[in-house]
Amino acid sequence: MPAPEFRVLSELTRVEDFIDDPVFTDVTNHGEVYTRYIVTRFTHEVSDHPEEWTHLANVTPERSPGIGVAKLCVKNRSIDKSEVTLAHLDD
Amino acid sequence: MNVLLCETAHSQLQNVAGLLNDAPGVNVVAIARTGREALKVLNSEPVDLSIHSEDTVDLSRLIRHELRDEVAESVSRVVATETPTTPLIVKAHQLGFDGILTVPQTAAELAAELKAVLTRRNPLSEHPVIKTLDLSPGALDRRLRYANQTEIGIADLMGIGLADQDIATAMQLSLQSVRNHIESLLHANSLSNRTQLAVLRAIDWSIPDFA
Repeated sequence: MPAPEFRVLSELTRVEDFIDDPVFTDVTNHGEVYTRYIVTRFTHEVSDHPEEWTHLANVTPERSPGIGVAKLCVKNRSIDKSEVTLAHLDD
Repeated sequence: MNVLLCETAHSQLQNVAGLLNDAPGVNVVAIARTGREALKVLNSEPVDLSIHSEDTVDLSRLIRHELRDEVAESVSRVVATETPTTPLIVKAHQLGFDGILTVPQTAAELAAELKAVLTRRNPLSEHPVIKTLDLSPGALDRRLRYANQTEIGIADLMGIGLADQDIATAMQLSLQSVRNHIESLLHANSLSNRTQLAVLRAIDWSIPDFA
């Protein structure tokens, strides 16, 4: 299996170049906890990732202050899967 | 203190009624064996507290939602049981009950416990298990609020056990859209997890009889 490749995306790219809706919900805790985020910028495109991630993006929680990095699987201009690592203001 | 007993033909609250009749300061207003009987009494008689058998706990939620707001807010509720198990305590807490009554006791002990419930001296939230689980009281004692028909449809399908992807397929929405709607529902209804939302929708039906 080929190793995954990461390509840094230009800062000129816009979120709407990749997905129709910048708001997505990350699901954690075995499918129980739902947290909404806004994608602020796609930073990397990923290919051949074994876990099917297609992009890395900067995200911010919609309902609390914080900055996060999201692994995203984008299909048909919609986020099919996500995994967010978050830093809060009061960390 | 005016008390309403709610029981089924299978539960044994008759001994409680007998004890309460001897308890100082306690007046048993009625014994209701159907939801409609309970509603009729609560809407027409002054009741301070309703005592429920274990098998009427789930349905008590429906009664409260049929009451006028001022009546629902003014009536305390307890569950009467011989064996106060942890699952019963947690369920009662989540359904907004004010206490658990262990029976049998003496008439004086019963009356003292009921008075403690009315003055909130023994709230269920102080139970060690409830504190450990960090649960919000009455999380399942509410009616869901929806922003639109799509949210109602999504909640309906959650209530019958469909996973997010299946809901997306059934409603011809993207998975992202379904999850955004679910998060909106959770946030608008102050719920902390998906299961609470699904359960609330599943039990959100009109009052049947106890029996």
